[in-house]
Amino acid sequence: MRIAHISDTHLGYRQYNLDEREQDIYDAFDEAISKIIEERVDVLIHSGDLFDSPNPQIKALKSFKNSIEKLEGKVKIFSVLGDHDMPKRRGIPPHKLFNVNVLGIGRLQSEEYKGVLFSGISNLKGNNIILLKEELKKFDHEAEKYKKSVLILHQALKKYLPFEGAYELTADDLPRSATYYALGHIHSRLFTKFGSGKLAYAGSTEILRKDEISSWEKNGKGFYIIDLEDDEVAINKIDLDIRPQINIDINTDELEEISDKLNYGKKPILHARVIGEHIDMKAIIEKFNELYRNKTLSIKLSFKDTSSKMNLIPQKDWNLKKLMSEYLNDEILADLAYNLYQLLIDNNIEEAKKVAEKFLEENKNDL
Amino acid sequence: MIFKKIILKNFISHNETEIDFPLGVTVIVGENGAGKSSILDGLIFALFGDKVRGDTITDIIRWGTSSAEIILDFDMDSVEYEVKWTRTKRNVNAKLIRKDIGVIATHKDNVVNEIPKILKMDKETIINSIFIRQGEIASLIDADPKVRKNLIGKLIGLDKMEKSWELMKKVIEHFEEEKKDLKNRKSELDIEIKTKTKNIEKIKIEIDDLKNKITSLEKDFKLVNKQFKNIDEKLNELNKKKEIYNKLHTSIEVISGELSLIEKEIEDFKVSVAESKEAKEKMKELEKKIERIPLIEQYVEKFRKLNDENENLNDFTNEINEIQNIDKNLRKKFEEYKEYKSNIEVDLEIQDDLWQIKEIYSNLIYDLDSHFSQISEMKDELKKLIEKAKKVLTDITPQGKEDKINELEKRIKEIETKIRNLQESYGQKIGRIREIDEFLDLLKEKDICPVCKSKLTIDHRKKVTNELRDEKKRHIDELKKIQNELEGLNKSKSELNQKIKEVTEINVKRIIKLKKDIDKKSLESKKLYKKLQLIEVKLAKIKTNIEKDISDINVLIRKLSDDIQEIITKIGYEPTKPENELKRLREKENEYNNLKPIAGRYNELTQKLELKKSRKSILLSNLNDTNQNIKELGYNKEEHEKIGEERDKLLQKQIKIKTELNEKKELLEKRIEEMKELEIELKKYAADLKKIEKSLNKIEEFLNKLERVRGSFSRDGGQKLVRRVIAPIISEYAKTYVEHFNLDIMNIEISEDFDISIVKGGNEVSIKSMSGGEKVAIAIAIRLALAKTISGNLSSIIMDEPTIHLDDERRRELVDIMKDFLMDNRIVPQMIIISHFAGLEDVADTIYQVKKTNNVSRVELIT
Repeated sequence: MRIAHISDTHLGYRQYNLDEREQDIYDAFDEAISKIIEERVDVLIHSGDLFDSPNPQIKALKSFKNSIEKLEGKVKIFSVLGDHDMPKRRGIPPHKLFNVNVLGIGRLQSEEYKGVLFSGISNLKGNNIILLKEELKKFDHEAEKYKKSVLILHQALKKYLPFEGAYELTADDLPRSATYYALGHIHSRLFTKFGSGKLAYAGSTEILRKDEISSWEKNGKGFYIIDLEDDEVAINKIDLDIRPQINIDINTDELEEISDKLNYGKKPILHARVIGEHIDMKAIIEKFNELYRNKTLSIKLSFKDTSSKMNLIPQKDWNLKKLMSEYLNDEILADLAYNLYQLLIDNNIEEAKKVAEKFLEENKNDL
Repeated sequence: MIFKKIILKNFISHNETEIDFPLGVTVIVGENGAGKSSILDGLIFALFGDKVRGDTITDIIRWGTSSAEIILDFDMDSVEYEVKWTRTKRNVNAKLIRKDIGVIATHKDNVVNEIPKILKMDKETIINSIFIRQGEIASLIDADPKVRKNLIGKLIGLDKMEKSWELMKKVIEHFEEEKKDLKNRKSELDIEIKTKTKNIEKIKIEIDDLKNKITSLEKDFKLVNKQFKNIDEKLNELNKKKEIYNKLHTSIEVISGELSLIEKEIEDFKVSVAESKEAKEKMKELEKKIERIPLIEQYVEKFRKLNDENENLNDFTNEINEIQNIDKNLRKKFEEYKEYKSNIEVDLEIQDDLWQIKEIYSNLIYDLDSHFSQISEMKDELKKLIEKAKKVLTDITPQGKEDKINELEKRIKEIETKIRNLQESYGQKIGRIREIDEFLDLLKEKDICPVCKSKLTIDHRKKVTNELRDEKKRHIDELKKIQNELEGLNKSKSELNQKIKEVTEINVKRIIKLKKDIDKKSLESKKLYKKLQLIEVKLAKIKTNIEKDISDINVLIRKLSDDIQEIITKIGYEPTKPENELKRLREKENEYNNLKPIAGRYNELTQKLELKKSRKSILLSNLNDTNQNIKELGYNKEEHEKIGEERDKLLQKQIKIKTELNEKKELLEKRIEEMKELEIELKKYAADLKKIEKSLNKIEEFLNKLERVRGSFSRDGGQKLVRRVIAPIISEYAKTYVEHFNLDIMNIEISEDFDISIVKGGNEVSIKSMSGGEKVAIAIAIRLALAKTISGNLSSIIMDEPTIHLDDERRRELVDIMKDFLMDNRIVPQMIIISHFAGLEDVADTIYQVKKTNNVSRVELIT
């Protein structure tokens, strides 16, 4: 059985509020469908965030319809809902317009197809993570009956998104017996061995965030083809020809030296961090416009001024007492100032007077 | 810090609410007033033991229950804590548990102190870094720059610096006050020292003066002492001479006393002698006048008698005139009422007194006049009555009247009997006519005899009908006759009745009475007439008497006139006012009598005068002798007094000099002592002044330092430094956050004055020109940057109604932006949003719905 695993297509997303970027995302999906047809797959798995919203605009729906019709109903589709296209309060997801099979809203749902078990549960988070974990425990029991099984999820694993609040599951929460773990949500493309099978994040089909650029440069964007015929699960990576995005740091005196990095079929988006001392932002912005406007779809500039004080002060390491000391240039007086400050903010004027008197008394000889 | 769970029992509107806070975005939605904000209150109460929201929560204990309980589980640096509060109406219990160790603090104060230590932030920082209050997002976007700057300043604690800058003024004032006191003391001392130095100078001059004066005074004293001794000797001699002089002088006074007495006596005697002589001469003069007194007395007496008699004569003449008047009047009345003249005897007791007669006379006239008018009135009335009565009555007496009435009534009765008879036969005739009419009617219809009921033939019927008709005609004729007769009778009857009425009206009794009264009055009038005649007689008699008296008086008057003429001849003139003359002469007589004793003493007084004159010449010779002795003594009183005065003056001068000398000597000693004291004091003040000047310098220096300290709180000082340091940090964080929004914003820069500058699409743009969504994104980025700047990292963020001041479109944009920002980036590991705007559910990982039923808030997890 040949399976196409695609994810995080985010149809309807409009990056930087640009028409071109909205279209880029439709194009990427359409290209993927064309390639899936070429690959003659039995099953298409979409592991969530098909649409960017549970209420996508008509243009997104139309675009999806046009693309999916090309399959002529010859491919069995399994999908789960992602955090983006999960309707709130038990609404109907847009998928239902196109008879796209959505698995497991709020529970693990399974379906056999050609002797293979396809189980899935749509995205759960927050308080529902407990529910998610309980449901996942049911999988191993069900999968026992099948030689091969696929688990479809749209969740973040701690291993790949190790920030507090960002992940829902750790590796230990996953069942062990699936042949293939078709995961969505993390936009970087990756696959790994897991238990007796393989686990893969198909990643997004386009570069949706600046931080995806490096992974795109390394691994590209696209979908996976999985072959379950053999004992060993075979995974093939299919790339898509998407609009490039370039992320570079550049010194103020090298502005002209990136020209050769922008030569692509599609005009790229340029993210540049300009580093230098006493940066004349306006001049640099003008310079970039002059040099690269025609070669790019959009230019995103940021600046790092190495001469400014902010780079010298370690973050969080500012405190009032130190600043007072700096201001007064006198450690002892700064102590007095800080003590008085703390009393005065509590309206404790009398105590402040006493402290000042005491200071006067103690430092009589120095005065 | 990450919130894990909160349990609210009987807390405000919550009965029993348990809320888990997973990581990610938790949205708590509900209508206003459903109890959403109470959850926020619960979180704040759990951390600080009080309420921070501006709202007033009078009591956190749910109405109708006695205690509230709040349990909060939270996580800090992977250590779990639980804080538990129990609030009853009277007290509050708190417990803080570290889950891996156990209870680490109990009691409110300990717990409230411990939590900031665990969170490594003070209360303000915790609140400003975790809680994003209602409207803060909107304020950061839309408020004018000043409000925005204030908000940022407040969030990073500049308001506290401002407050301490303000209050520091009071601390400084405290020392300024001290400085002022010291200055005052210094200037007081300066004045004191100046005064003392001046005083010492003054005293020195005074001492020199005093010494000079004492030397000169001692010299003066010696001189005066010598002068005094000389003058004292002179004075003793003069005192002896004065004693002798005084004795001589006393005897002169005695002699002079007697002499002046005698001289006065001589003068008095001379006056008395002269008076006596004068009296003698006056008496001779008066004797001639006094001789006339008896003659004038006689004259006065006779003259008075003459007047009396003339008056009597006058009275009698008047009486005669009056009698004549009455007499005349009487004659008139006699003529007027002569019909009453008669021979009736009457009594009239009267005396020969004209006044009484006049009284009786006028009464009689009055009575007679009134009788006369009454009688004539009565006669008129009687005449009228009799005329009327004569018309109906022949005999005008009560019997005549009764007889006449009886006669008339008898005639009426006869007429009435006739009428009754006629009426009866009239009725019979009418009855018969009606009967005939009925028969005639019957005969018209039937042929039966109406009388005998037998059947009638036509002829018979005709015969009967004719008979009946004849009879009816006869009866009708008779009826007319009877009617005429009846009319005549009724007329006679009413005439008779009228007559009876007229006779009855005649008042016979009145006529008789009037006749009687007229007779009575006439008799009385006759008596009165007779009395008047008697009065006439009496008057004639009185008249005769008066005429006799008048002739007697005339004789007497002639005699008196002769006597008076004789006295005038004796006097020599006719006295015009004899009474006044007599009075004057009698005064002279009195004077004469008074002079008599004075004139009698003349010889005795002349002898006494001679004796006094000889005593006076002896006294005068004694006086001459004594005066001669005084002249010989040669004592001068003025000289004596002058010498005495000179001595006294010298004595005074001596004492004065002595006193002044002593005073000056004492003063000198005192001044020397004072000077010594002043010099010691001056030294002491100088030392004090040095000390105060030193303190003043110190406090001035300290005030400079305090001003510097205040500067470290001030807007342009310490605050500016804080802003300068903090602004780049905020900028850096905000820039990082804004990158995560799906926007075309290149750069955010927050200046040290908290002005925000933005680079968008390659150009620097003002915040005003940004779209609503961009503004919200910038505001959130800045707000989170502020939170991170003050706390060092972002853990849990609680947003209270972030959409509250946004319009619908902005609200939508906020949701879109939050979605991008929150769902994919996880910059904030935990965000709790409290909102009534259901649209925010789109960004939620977890949704809680808060509803209020029966005043109890219920929280429901939406899946």
